[in-house]
Amino acid sequence: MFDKFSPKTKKVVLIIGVVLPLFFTQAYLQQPLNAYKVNQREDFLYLPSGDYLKPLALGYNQVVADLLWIKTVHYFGSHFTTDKEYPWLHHILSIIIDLDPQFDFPYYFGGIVLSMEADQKDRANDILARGMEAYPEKWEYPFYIGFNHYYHDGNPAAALPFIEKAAALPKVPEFVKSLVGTLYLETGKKETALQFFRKIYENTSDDLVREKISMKVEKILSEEVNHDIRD
Amino acid sequence: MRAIRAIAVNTFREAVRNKILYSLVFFALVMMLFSLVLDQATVGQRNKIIKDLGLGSINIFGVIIAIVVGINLVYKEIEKRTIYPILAKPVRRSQFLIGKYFGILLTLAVETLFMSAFLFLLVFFYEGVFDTHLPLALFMIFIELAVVSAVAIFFSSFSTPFLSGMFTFAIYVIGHLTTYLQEFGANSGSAILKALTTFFYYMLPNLERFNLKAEAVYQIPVESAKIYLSLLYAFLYIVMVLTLSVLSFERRDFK
Amino acid sequence: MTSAIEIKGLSKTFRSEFLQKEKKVLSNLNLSVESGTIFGFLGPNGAGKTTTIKLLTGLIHPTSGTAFIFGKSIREIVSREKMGFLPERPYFYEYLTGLEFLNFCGELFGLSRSSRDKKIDELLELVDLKGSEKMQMRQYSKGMLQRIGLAQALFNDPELVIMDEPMSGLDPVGRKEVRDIILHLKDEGKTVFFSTHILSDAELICDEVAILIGGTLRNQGKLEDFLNPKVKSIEVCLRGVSKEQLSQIKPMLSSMTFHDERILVCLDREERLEKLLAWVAQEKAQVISITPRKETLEDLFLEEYKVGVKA
Repeated sequence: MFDKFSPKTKKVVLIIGVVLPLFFTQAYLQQPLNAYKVNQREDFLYLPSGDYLKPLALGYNQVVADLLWIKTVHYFGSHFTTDKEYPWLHHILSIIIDLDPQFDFPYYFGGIVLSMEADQKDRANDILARGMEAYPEKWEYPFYIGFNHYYHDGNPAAALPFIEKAAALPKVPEFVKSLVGTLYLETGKKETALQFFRKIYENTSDDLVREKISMKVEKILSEEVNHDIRD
Repeated sequence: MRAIRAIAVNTFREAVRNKILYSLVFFALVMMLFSLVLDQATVGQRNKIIKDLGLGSINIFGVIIAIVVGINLVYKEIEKRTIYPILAKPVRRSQFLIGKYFGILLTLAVETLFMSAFLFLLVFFYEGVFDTHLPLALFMIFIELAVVSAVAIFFSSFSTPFLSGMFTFAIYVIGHLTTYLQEFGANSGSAILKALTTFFYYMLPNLERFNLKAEAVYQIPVESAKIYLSLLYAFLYIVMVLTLSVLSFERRDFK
Repeated sequence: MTSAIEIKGLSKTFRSEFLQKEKKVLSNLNLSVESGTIFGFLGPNGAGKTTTIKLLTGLIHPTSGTAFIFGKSIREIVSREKMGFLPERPYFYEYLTGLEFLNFCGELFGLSRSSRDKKIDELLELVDLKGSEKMQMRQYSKGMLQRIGLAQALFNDPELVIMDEPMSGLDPVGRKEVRDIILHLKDEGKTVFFSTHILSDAELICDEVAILIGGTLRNQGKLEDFLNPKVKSIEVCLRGVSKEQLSQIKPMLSSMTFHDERILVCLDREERLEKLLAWVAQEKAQVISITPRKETLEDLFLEEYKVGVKA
């Protein structure tokens, strides 16, 4: 019976009578469906550790590391703007490091963000320790570890060996060196501190530094005198 | 009705005797077994990766089968002229196309069931219990496959297998991104871009609606109303696409 | 009584995919096929025979004009209920067995299982495929494919069977089998419409023919009306006469051809044969053979073709 119509009539009837209503209904359905929240999926936990991922990367270690790095930044960004919780940050960073140990930015990022923003000092130090392995000549990594101990825990004794190590590395700025002295002082090793400051004073040609150190030394000595008087 | 059933059963029979199907299913099973190895490699999260990879393999291989079978079955009928004696009988072209569609659905259903059974056994051996959260996710995977194969049929009703395959795959990929696309368009500040992304948002299937894999793995309960709405959405979309397919198939000349 | 096929002003223009170049394959075809006849649809390759058949079976749509099968428009699905169709060089699902395929055809017609089984049995007998029905069709030979194709075309006991080049690609035995089946169908009162470019096949069995050249109908009619039943010429093969001797009777011969010691002469009038034979006896020559030549479909075809090319 339907065949009696011309093909053109059939087409028009089907489009207006069937296709268009279907189109608008299915489009309308998007609204109520949108009301259901999509579950935030954190698929980092699917990632096996880097040691196992390495063979799976089929030699494209750097590429996979880069992709994961992009994901990390996205992960950080989305949580920074929302809940400020970063439970998977360390996991994915260590995978990136496993895959591409020469990729240095994740060390800084992990060292600073994990400690300052995520409040995960130990995990930050873990990342930084691996940075020290990969780049033994960089003073920043031991410096940050020391900083984390000092700043977070207020533990100069734990910070001292790392700052000491940083101070001995090339290209280290002077303030790190003087920080070593400060830490000696804070841990009660006044004699060592004085010796240390004296050494810097002799080795530097920078007048500003000399001036600052002499001020510091004078301060220590005067405190000592005051101390003696009080006793 | 009888003609549609006959064509569906015939399509199924033809498809299951094809070796391509078996190699794809075989690959999917290998992927699932491979998840056992990966599970050893993951820290913490034991047997979660088995479900992830299992659901993922069933999903992606299902999509590949839906596309490969969907684009080839109609084309092959025309290319090899097997469609001639069928359409010369009192069989409508719409019946032929719908029969083909149900044949593909039947093939996909059997294939999904088979692979699901495999996944169930794998999880059972690992956890010692039957995971009751998996069936819903698996069912929704099948619904996604039903939508994808309708799209494949649509393209193959007027295009070559190669192009149909490319188009269908593109729609599968974009179908998972429509929400992002729309957000992107809305935030772009360009009126044209916004109109374009909104158009695609409503025109293309929103396949993320059928993605309950995370819910299954994390055992997050899903509102039943959401499921019903998604099913209704899939149904309407499929009927729409098939009607369009019939329209383009009706006017086609089989040279 | 309505005709089995009634074609009215059927035209088909194909458009190429890319350049949109139009090609007229069939123009204004008018044709009527009486029921109960064997109708031969003749023409060289590319004449539009297959196009016409595809139009009749609904595989392509006419650009203009229409056709009726037993009074039903080809646009309506019911027009295909009393029709059976054997495509050219048929090819069926390779992974199905012959039996499964025939069963599938029965289901398409909506027949019940028991009537399907009965019919399949009958058809396998008719096309002589008993014993091969459980083989997958990719193992079938060309001839077997043609026969299973016939079986599927006859499933619904069609009043009209349309066949596209049913004899092409078959060996002489296969051709004879197809011819026998066509004659058998006629005996059952069915109409058979088939296309062919092999004229001898048509000549042997057709009641009526139509000649299609370059998409246009050239001629249609009963075969006996077409062909002059009178002897057109007589060919006589002689031995033992020389050229000089023959030149004496040259006016009487329409042509002569020399081949070693044999000479083939052609007479265009029957009554001249007697004279020739008398002359041969007189010259003591030998007669090897005498062949009367009637007008054949081939002559007609060639004539039409020449006209078509000129036009």
